[in-house]
Amino acid sequence: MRKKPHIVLRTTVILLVLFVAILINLPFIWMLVTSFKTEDAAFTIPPSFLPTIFDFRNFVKAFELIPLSQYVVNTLFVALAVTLLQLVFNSLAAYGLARIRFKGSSIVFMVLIGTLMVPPEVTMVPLYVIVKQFGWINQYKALIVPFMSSAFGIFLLRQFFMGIPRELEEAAIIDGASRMRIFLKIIIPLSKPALYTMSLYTFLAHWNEYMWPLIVINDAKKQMIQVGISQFVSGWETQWTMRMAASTTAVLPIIVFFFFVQRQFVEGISISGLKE
Amino acid sequence: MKWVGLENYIRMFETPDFWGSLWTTVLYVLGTVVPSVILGLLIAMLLNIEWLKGKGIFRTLFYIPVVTSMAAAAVIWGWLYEPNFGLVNYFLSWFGIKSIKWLSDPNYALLGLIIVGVWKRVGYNMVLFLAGLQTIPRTYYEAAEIDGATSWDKFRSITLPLLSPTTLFVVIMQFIASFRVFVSVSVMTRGGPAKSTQVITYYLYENAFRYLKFGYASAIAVFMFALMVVLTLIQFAISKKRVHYS
Amino acid sequence: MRKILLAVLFIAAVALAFAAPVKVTMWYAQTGIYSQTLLDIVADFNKLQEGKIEVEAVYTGSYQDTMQKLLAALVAGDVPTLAQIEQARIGQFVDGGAFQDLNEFIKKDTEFAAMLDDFWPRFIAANTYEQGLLGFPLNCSTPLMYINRDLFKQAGLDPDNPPKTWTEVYAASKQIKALGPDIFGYRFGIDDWLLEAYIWQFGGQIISEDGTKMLIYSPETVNAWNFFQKGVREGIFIFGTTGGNELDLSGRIAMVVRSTGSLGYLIQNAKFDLGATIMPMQEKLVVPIGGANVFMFSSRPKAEKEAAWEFLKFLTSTANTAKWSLATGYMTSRISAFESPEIQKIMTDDPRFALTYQQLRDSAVRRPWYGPYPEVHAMITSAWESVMADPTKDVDAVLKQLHKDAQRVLDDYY
Repeated sequence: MRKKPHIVLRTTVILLVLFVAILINLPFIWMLVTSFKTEDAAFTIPPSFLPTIFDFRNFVKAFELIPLSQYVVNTLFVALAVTLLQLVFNSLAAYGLARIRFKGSSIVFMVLIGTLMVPPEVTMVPLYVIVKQFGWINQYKALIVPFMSSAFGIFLLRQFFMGIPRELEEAAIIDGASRMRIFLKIIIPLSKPALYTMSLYTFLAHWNEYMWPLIVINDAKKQMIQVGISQFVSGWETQWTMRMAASTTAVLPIIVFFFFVQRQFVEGISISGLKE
Repeated sequence: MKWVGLENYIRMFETPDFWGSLWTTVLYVLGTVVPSVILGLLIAMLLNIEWLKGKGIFRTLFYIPVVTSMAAAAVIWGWLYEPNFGLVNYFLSWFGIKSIKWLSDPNYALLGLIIVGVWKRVGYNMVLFLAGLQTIPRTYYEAAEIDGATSWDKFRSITLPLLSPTTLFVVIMQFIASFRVFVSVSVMTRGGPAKSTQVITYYLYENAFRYLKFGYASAIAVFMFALMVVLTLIQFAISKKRVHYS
Repeated sequence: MRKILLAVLFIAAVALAFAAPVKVTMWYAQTGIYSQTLLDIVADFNKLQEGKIEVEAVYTGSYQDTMQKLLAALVAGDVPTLAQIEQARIGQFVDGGAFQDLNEFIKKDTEFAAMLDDFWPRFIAANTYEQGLLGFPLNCSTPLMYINRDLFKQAGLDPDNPPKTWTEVYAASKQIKALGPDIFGYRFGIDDWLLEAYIWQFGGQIISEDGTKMLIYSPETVNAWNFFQKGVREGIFIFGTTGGNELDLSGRIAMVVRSTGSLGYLIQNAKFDLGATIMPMQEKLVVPIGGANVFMFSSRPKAEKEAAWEFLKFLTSTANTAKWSLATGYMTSRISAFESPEIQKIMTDDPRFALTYQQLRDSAVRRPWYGPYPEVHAMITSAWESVMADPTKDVDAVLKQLHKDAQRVLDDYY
């Protein structure tokens, strides 16, 4: 295979990447460090990056005061359900928009993208009225059903599907394969990186969702994590260190999750052999 | 409730605040789109180098700002920007730069938000570019190397064209995300100081949920929708020649 | 036979309906210890009224988040029975007749009516509108001036004799500033209720009594804004929109005005000798009442509102308002609670806790609440920021323009 470049160049690149990685993570490191500090140690000049003692009490207190583990389970359920449903509906819609020409298909696509521009704050009130009519207030249906598909996901998958060589499908069509079969046997396996990416972003968006659950869920036991931790994260007289501990708790599961799945969607596939 | 016809739209176009917030949004979009797309691509290419060790860890590190909820991130940044003993001014003082009142100075507040916006989105774009880079067949590069192509040649004639569908997607998504910036504004500056960071989504939000002018807010939303459709059409038209689909 | 069976079934159903407890929903915007105390009181009430009334308390985020949830609910016809709403945000609800006049209950409830005098009169006044008595005080506070006594001593000032007027604040700040470039006499930001206080204390006014006329552009307001701008220009005051909390704890600020609710937090976390005093005055002795009140929605069924009334009485009973105040540091809403040994003990132990009551009796008034006020208020904040961030800006011109723009907002609304 290809030869590796000189050791000096390699070291420089690694150091550069490391430097940028640390720089970009300073705010996060700050949050992490503060979550272990005592309140009076949080304000010093010059700012200190290492807590003198690791104080886990902030975490213990956060878990005591609110049912954090319950919130994690609730949010996992909702976010996973939304992600799975979006995988199905977005990929089907995206395939249609990428490959099937029908009257007005480009208008449908434009309107879809236009909806990305409408802030969720605007649609919230009408959506609430609809959900109320269905009798879904305080139920997970209200958090899941309206988000079964998303313009963002459809757009992302469409872009990737359009990059897949048409010849692959043409051969299958000549062999008499149905659209659905082509979709399932050719398009889906080739789009794994895109599907992983979309799933990750969908999951993330719903993990971090705050306003909508706050509005439709009333039962504290059913609440989502961001609303749960907001009792620490916002509020003007709350303790800084507690805020940071709660924020860290909400972020860490996703970082760990990402670490384990990132390989899947960046190294999942190589279509090089198929293009000849 | 009463029917007011086009009154809300007429009022919108007559209000200096509306135009002001649109202009602030344009500045924010210009300030964030280019750096976050270019940095995202650069980092993706660095992390796509075959011999780089610890890719998984690096990818995760670059992704951390993305997963941090904006509400929490904005709180932290508000603190980092604190003029007297925030970390940002502390670092700047090493280079002899005098204390900047990041979020309380109308001349700097928007820049402060732009930095946070870029910081938050670089990792996002990086992941999209990484996924896009994976779909470029390695054989293309190998063939080019046999022909004696330099790294720059390979980037220009293989990576860029084959990555163009991804790039188009990233640019449009970044554009939309920047246009819709809201949480950082509402947590860090609340549109101030002196309206210098009043972007259009925040203007809309204030009208809807603070001043309770729903009709007027809806008119702004419809305007944003229409604007987006037009801008996307233009982007697609421009990119038609440039984007390469296999 | 069948008729009898039906009748029995009907009676059983009716009995069951009566047996089921009346459900009352209360939305609240409190976090941490505040939320915990409120939930404790709710649990006590539910135990006491078991089988009859059940109160469900729902956390609704910040004051602003609560507004969003309320608006969605209002459009869908799905409002709660009770909600805790911040003072400056209620105008359009009041104008739209969304709130229940609590006098209707008080009239029928002679036992309670006799006790109405036990509430701080200024709290009752603050909740009285054209439509009647609409709210009950829950978490109320007034602004206090906090002092870094160490800095006072270092500057050769007497911390036991803190400034009483803004002119004295300015003089003291000048002396404190001499201690070093990083040290400031007075810190302020854009806290909405303080902006109102500054204007009032210098003798200015914001809006006319009926809410239809702007009165902000006056020599008094110009004078007030010039005063603070001058302090910033000379570097002896510090103006900032972020990081206030950190600055206050850093030990580099000699004076700052914050809510009484902050007293406990500051005592706990300040590493310097913390003093407190009433807010300075100038032309007038006047402070705003901050915080939130609990409101009842008039559109709910009668039985539910009656049950909610029972809860409101329980929530503001002498024992519970004392309990609330002890746990949170907010003020008691009743005089009898204030006179209770537990609360009196706090104030004998630490007289700083008594200051807010002194202000409440002497000088506390309701903040502006009118329908278009949220927008007017945002305009005031923005104008204030522009002259403080750029201390060379002409205050007179900015206020004149503000007055004109805000008047247009009022004219549009009415």
